[in-house]
Amino acid sequence: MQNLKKSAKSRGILGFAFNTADVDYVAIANQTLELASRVLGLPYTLITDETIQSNITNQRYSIDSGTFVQWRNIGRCQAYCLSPYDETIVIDVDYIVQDSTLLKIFEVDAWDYMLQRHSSLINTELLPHSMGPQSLPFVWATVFAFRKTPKAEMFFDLVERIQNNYNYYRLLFNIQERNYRNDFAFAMADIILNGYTESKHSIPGTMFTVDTKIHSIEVNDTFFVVRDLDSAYVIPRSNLHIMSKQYLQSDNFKEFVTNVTT
Amino acid sequence: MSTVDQLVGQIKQSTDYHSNREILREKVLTDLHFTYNGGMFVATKELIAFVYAWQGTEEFWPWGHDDPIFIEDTYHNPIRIDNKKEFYQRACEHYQTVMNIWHQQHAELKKIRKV
Repeated sequence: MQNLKKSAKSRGILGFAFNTADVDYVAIANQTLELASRVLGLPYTLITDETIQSNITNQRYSIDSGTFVQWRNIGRCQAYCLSPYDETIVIDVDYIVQDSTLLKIFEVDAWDYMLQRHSSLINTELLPHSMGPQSLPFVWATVFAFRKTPKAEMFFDLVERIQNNYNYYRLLFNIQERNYRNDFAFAMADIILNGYTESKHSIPGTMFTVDTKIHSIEVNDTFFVVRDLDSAYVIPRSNLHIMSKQYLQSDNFKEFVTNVTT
Repeated sequence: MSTVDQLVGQIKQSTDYHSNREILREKVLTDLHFTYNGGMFVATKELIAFVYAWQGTEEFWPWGHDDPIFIEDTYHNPIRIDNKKEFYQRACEHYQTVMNIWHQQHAELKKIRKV
């Protein structure tokens, strides 16, 4: 007989997309979230619009153009309030989900939020392990998960506080970069909330990052062949963080999505 | 097209086997994670050997064979293992599956020197 007292927890994927002059993030999100939804078998919600107001003007370095371009990365701290799910996986629109690793975290007890602590570039150059020579260990806000618990709510409240007072916290934690980054805010909130230690819970494994100007990604049964202007990289079919927004807006990416979904 | 241009073109088409091999290994290390009784474990040789050894010493225990054991998971939590045999089998099966896939993919990777 079904136990009616115990209700199933709702699970889903959340994405944020705010268009800029150079990048149609919403169009990218529609493809990557759809892909993630198919692979993980979870519904998704896209947060977009102009309603999140902020006086912070951010820039990111574009590997496509080699210049600094507008970057609207404010609002991630509202994930807790805006998520309609009890258990949420939040992914950046440039994160391509291709394996079910993320589902494993739902089978683990007693966690409030999980961050991605390990990332590796496919061209094997080392990524920074800390946010400055005397700063905190790096975490990635590209993909994270949370449950609707008081501690997770506190975490996002703290991220919002850091976002609103970023210059203060940047100096406090010896962060070199002046740009507001969710990665930094998450790392600071995590360490403050855990009594100045890192929380033990993190998304298992390594996130693969492609930070070159991609020409194409070919798909076969077991591998992706990522081609840039200089070389090619053969990587197993796995979750990928793709920095090249130009590629994500190209017909080649649409073809890639078609190939991995058929 | 000159010979030099052709050579440059060929080099650009090539891929680095050693780099690809390390990426594949990273992926395998991720895939070795499995969950059991609310804990997250990595199916390593050490874990499998530990659980196997623990089962082997049961006959020397002054207390009952069916007593649970507690194993630390990757999140530093002690996870209660009531059925050691089931846990052992689960770890072995997961290890075997992932390692088989690794072996197959590694063999394919060795063939792909030029893409």
